[in-house]
Amino acid sequence: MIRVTNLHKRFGDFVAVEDVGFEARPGEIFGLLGPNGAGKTTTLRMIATILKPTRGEITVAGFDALKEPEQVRRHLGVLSEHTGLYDRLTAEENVRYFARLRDLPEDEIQRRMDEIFPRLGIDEYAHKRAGTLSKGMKQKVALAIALIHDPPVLLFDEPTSGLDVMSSRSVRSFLESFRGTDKTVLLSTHLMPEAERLCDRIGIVHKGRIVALGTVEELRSLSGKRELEDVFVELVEGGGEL
Amino acid sequence: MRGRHVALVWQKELLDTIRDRRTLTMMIVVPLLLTPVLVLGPSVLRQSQEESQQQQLQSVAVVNGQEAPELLAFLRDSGLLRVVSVPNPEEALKEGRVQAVLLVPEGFAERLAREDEPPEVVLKFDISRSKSRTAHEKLAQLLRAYRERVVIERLQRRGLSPQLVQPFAVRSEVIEVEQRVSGFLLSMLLPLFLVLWAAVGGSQTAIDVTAGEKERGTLESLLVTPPRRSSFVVGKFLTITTVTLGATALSLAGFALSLALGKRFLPESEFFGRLGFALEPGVLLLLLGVMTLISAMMSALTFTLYLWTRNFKEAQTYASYLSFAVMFPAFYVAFTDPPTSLPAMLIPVYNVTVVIKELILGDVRWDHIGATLLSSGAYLVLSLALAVRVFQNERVLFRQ
Repeated sequence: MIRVTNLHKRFGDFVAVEDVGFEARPGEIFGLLGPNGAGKTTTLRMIATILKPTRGEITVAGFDALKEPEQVRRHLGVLSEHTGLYDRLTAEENVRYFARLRDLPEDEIQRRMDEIFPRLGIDEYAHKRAGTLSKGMKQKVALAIALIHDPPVLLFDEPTSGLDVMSSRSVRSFLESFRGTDKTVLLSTHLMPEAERLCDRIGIVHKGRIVALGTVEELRSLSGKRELEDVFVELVEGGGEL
Repeated sequence: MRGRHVALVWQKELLDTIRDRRTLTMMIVVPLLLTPVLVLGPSVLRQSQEESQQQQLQSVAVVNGQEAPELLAFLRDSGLLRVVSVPNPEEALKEGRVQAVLLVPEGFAERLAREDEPPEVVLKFDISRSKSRTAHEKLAQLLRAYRERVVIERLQRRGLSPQLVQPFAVRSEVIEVEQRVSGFLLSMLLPLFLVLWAAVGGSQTAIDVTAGEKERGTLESLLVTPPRRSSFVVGKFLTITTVTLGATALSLAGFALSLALGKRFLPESEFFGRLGFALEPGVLLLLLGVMTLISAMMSALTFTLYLWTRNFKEAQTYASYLSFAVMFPAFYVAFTDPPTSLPAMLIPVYNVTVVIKELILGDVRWDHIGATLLSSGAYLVLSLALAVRVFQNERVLFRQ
């Protein structure tokens, strides 16, 4: 579970995140939807403990992100559009390195790789150097790294950005497979159809604030619009809240 | 910080480095191949140039030669120069057709015989040409010898002993302490090499594990794993130190190779010919200790510096600034008699270069070694502490 309360983040004079609060529960996919620069990545980075909030509270899997950052990181898997790999290591060596940093025993690492690699089709290129892989292949390896320790909480920041259709599909279907399990998934995206298809509940983020929050149905009925896109455009252009 | 995580990071970064062709080239090819070229090159060039110039006869145009037939014969008989007469001597000198011009005044021989007013000969040469400088040197030497002959003749005519103008003789002798001579030359080159390698030997790796990590987008993945930041800092620092030490050791091997090659193929050379250089085991051990420390210190420093940069390109710019910053004190120490007061011995890089130079000369100065070790150790710890802070600074890590 992720609980965010009263979250603020300033970079000098720039307010990146202002009074953000939401709760993502196990078994659901919670979406943060908003244009680029809305503050989604900053919010996710604070949850992942790599940025410190100016103000506010974050709890991940029962641990306080400010007081127990190591515990939070232990229970978290992160995949972002910027996630890179070590080009001179093979796909498998990349996964192993991050798994070992997470103190997973060797037999456990092997077991998890045997489970995840075939599902993502990584076993075909597991022994190739990451530098020779396509963007889609790399993103799948990065996904394997995020999942290797079977974390209860997953953060996905624009995970399909820049991917071809087939790779996007396979990342999305993997994401979907977590619905109804004991995992909490937080997805940040600027793609309307992605949010609509994957997310159980959505927070619409604009200029660092959550301007609307609810299920796709709730958002539609609140605004009186039929399409999520229309809801979004009204919020962003009107600058108001529902 | 946990040893297991440090070892894991160290292992991975080292593997990554070994697989990087750029770093490998910098580490292996450059020190092993470039060092001999740098060490042997100047000697080979100088020797071949000197040989050819000594053997070659430079041409001297003599103006009014008929006024000094005896001098002319003296110059010709020496066999050191070719005496020629050309239509426009100064022009010929400018164009390099002759290497020197000797102007003999009217009535030279007569005035010499009269012994009243000493005539003046003028020597012209082109200081920008090494052949012309050699010709001038030879000519000046021959003229001095001729003058001496004239003086002795005059004394003899008066029944006086030539010893009157030579009250004592002078003979130069080079002391035959091989180690001192070659040690002196080595003490100029070796500290320069060692300190430079300590500064630049690990720079590719240092950039790769800092700015490279940012550029590839792997830094964020690393930061969301549980280990403490200090484990990453120390693991990465140890990788850079390992590579730096490796590069320094290889450059030392390259140096040894150069000396062996020099002794074998340039036995005539003043530098290599006399070489019988060996370090006492104790001094060698001290030298290795100092080298390890400077490598570690430079690694911590470069690590912190490159962590600050946004990308590879920016880091490489800093790397070139840094090598200049290191080169300056290293050159200063190599080619001067550097001051060794306590404040001076606290200057990073400078102090290490001084100590290495002293050790090579067999001069073990414990106060210098102590000041160097303590201050370098302090700089190392400070750099590492700073690196840990920088590694936790979100502004630096996510600079755009």
